Amino acid sequence: MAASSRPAPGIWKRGDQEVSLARLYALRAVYLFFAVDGFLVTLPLLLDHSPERHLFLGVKGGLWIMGIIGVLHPLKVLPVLLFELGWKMVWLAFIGLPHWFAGVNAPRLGEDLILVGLLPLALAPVLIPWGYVWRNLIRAPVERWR
Amino acid sequence: MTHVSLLRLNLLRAAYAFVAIGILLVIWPSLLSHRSDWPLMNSVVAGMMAGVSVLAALGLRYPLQMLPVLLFELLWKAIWLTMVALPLWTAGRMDPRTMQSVIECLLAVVLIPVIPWRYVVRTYVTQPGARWRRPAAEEN
Repeated sequence: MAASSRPAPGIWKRGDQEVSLARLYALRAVYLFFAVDGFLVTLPLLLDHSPERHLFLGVKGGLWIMGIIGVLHPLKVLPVLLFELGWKMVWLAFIGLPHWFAGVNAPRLGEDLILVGLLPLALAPVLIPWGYVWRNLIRAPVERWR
Repeated sequence: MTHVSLLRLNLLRAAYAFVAIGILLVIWPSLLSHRSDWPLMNSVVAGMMAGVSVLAALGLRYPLQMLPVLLFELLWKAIWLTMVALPLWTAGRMDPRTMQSVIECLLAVVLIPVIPWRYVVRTYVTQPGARWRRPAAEEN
């Protein structure tokens, strides 16, 4: 993009910050999606006491609140995004793909894959600042034990 | 930087261990040996719980950084209990399976005294959020 004409670090470089500004905004867009989706889709379901009683409704409600916090603190709420990525991978690995390969429920699975969110799964490897995750959640000194 | 006592850190670790081991024993076996007619939403929730167990294991190393996971657990259970289960109960439409979920969700109350609330408020509410514009230092 136009980054080359700007003095470094522009919005694409992280410089001495944890992540680049562009990355912060990309993460904010995801949290904003949770916040708006929660407000428009989940909240009405929670409020109208429909016969739907599944735990999943509560989970979506929780994501709605975490999305609001995430817009302000995109990096601090990163564990929630990692959770989203993690459970989708677990579901695909243990439920989705075994069914697919066994030919069980194959027609239904097409819809299930979309419901579970194959798109976020495809986006996450690009969106999540893996360098930051590596530095802070794997390599960082462990919180004191004694 | 807000100080969190060592006792608190280790209580948090115990909470993460409780969550991780509980899910490991209850959810993972059904993930590994499920029937093919498992309803989608049940398998989705099981997948979510399994994801929580992995992050809770990370919480043993970084109890404070992983707090959003505990907060999320507490939050969604509170939302489900108050906005889904409670109206069903007052309307007299509670069934045994929903009651089972209520009991499982109520277990999350052990998290309330363990979470360092003052740290949570400072870190996620009163502290300024991440930057919205290029830092001024770049213009030097």
